[in-house]
Amino acid sequence: MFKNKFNKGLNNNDGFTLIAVFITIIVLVTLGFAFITQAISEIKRSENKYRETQAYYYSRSGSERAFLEIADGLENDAPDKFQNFSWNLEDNISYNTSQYDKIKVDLTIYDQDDNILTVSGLNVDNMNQIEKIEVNSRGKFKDAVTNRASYILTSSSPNLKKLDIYDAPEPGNYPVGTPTFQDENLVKGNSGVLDCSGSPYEFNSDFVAGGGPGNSLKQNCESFEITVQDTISFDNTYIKQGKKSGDNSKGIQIKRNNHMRINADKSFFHMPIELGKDSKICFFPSSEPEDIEEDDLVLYFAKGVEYDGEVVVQAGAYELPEEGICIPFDDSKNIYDWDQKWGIEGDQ
Amino acid sequence: MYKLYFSDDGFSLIEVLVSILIFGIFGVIMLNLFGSSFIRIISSGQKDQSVSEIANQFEKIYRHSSELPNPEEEINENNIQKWIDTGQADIIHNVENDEGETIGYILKISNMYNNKKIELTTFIRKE
Repeated sequence: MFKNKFNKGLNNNDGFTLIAVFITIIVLVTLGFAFITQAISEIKRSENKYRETQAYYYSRSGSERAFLEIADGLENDAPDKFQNFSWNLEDNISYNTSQYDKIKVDLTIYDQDDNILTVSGLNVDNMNQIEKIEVNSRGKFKDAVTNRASYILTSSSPNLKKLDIYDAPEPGNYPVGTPTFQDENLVKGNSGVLDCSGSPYEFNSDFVAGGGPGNSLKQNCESFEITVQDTISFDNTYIKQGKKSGDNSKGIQIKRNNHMRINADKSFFHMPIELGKDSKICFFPSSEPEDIEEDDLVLYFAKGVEYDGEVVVQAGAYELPEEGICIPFDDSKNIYDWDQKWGIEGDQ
Repeated sequence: MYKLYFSDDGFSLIEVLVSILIFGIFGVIMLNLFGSSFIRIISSGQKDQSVSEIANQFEKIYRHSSELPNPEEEINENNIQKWIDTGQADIIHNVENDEGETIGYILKISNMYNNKKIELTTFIRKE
């Protein structure tokens, strides 16, 4: 039946070319519209990409400029440098954020405990509390095209994290057979003066006791290093009870320009530490990083640490960083040594 | 019209001539439309590529500016042109701090696509 109709239509004398042409034109016009629509969307897409890319580099420019402002502020102790600003790349930056549309930069400043420090509350005396700065920069190019370049700058200078609750073992409470500085001849006689001639010292014992009864420890030599398997405890029961008349014990004294290095997972100081100018005491874990578990690394200062007469570490228990730490801390104001982490979590 | 439509008299020759005329006119229009759309699609792709290339060059310059191998390789147009693979780099102007010291540069890189020019601008730190 269908074949018959088809043959009939094919052999029809009536012309149908015009209709065929109209149908073809309709098809072509439809295809033409589809093609135009695709072309327009491609043009829009590539233009958007261009605008977004330029907007991104405007925002990147803002964040780069913010980096310089922060560096300047830290280097010159200038708290007013830590302000939000806007910029048009041509004139100087403006601390009025609505002055320029092209680039706007927000800075958020944090201290060690992640509290936000306000610019108005920032001054020369508390600038050393700055631990982290969050930079959030937005760029705008042509209409309503904005983009963000964000990063967090974190002071790479090590800081000690205080352990709020920690029960340090009582001084003098050593396991039986614990090597002591006196027994192992790490001090010269009863003077309490450290003998550096055998340094570095290494003990396979889990627990080593430093200090000596009635005497302080003094380091007059340039370098003293000791490694223990787990714990070292510096204990002077006489000092612990307070100074007595005629006693000049002062705890551990590391004289000017001298360095002490202790490799131990846990270090307990039941005596004060006094560091002379340009001297330092460094702590590093003795265990391999893969063997270290949570709460394994501890520094305990019953009496705190003084450097050149000033208290630099308050009494208390602290977490020893895996990468180690030296006291006094290195200068943390060189922003070029700070970690720069791009892309703030959760930000687009 | 009704009569014409159902008539047995064919007028295919006239139909063919009219059809050729209409088809010719529409054909030229559509050919032009297809051609220009095709060119625009290709051109958009080339623009995309140019923008990506400029962005890559910016990243290279950012890397160089933060890891300058020696102090003599300071940021200037000649050195920047050496670092990049494509496009034309121009330092539009220096950026100075409050003390009048140069702290960075406003850099423009332009690139050609399909006989058109596209350019992007950014700020590069001196140190």
